[in-house]
Amino acid sequence: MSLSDAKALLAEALQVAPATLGDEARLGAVEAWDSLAHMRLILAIEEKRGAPLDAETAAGIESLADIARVLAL
Amino acid sequence: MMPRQPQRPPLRRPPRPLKIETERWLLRTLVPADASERWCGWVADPEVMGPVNTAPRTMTRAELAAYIARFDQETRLLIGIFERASGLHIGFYQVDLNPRHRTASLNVIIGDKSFWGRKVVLETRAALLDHLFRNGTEKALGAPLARNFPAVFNYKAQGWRLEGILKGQCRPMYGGPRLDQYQYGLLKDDWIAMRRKAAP
Repeated sequence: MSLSDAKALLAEALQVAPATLGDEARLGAVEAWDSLAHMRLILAIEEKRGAPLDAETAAGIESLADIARVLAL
Repeated sequence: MMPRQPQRPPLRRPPRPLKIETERWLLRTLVPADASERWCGWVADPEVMGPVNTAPRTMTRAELAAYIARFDQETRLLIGIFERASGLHIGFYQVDLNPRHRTASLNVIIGDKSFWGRKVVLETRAALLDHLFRNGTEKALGAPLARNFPAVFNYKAQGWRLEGILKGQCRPMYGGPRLDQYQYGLLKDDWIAMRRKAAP
């Protein structure tokens, strides 16, 4: 799973165009990344992986890089 | 002979009743007269109560008023969140103060779902933290369920420290495996430093 795939997933959860997200996108620095978007994001990651995330993994998702890392697991 | 401990200033409890205004919201101490059909509706709504692992239930206004009256508003605070523009009551904080350890445990529910995703918690909890830390609290505590993703977002976005993962801490409402819970903490000095850094 590439960074651009992760960006597409994040953009869908945030309901924004992927081009509006930089490679350094992270929670707290992107206006559209709010509490509901975060919920959509975690659920989308779980759907991609086909299993719920454990608490340790879910707790570590704070940036685009984190999403790419978790999707690659 | 034991060395003398430096004297700490006495703990000042938040004034009663509490009233805090932010840009968009008003926080104030709730009283039994605030019991409303709207609030009874939140208690009965599985989408509102599920994330805090509480079974929805039917509650009358009188029962809700009695529940509100049980808060002493000194060490157990029940604080309403109101939209300033409309006066609409949209949610509430429950805050448990521990005077000995100078901690404050915070729980929040935004009952009116039309306000979800509008950063109500970030704005109101910042003001509430300012208030608590000015009045003797030295550490704030929060313990969301691990799968309460919106709540977890709010702790992360506000700079709270994840201090632990409590595995299988809670029995679920409707069966299934036990639920994990996060323990978040925020020290007064860390909060003040964050506020200073964010100041223009």
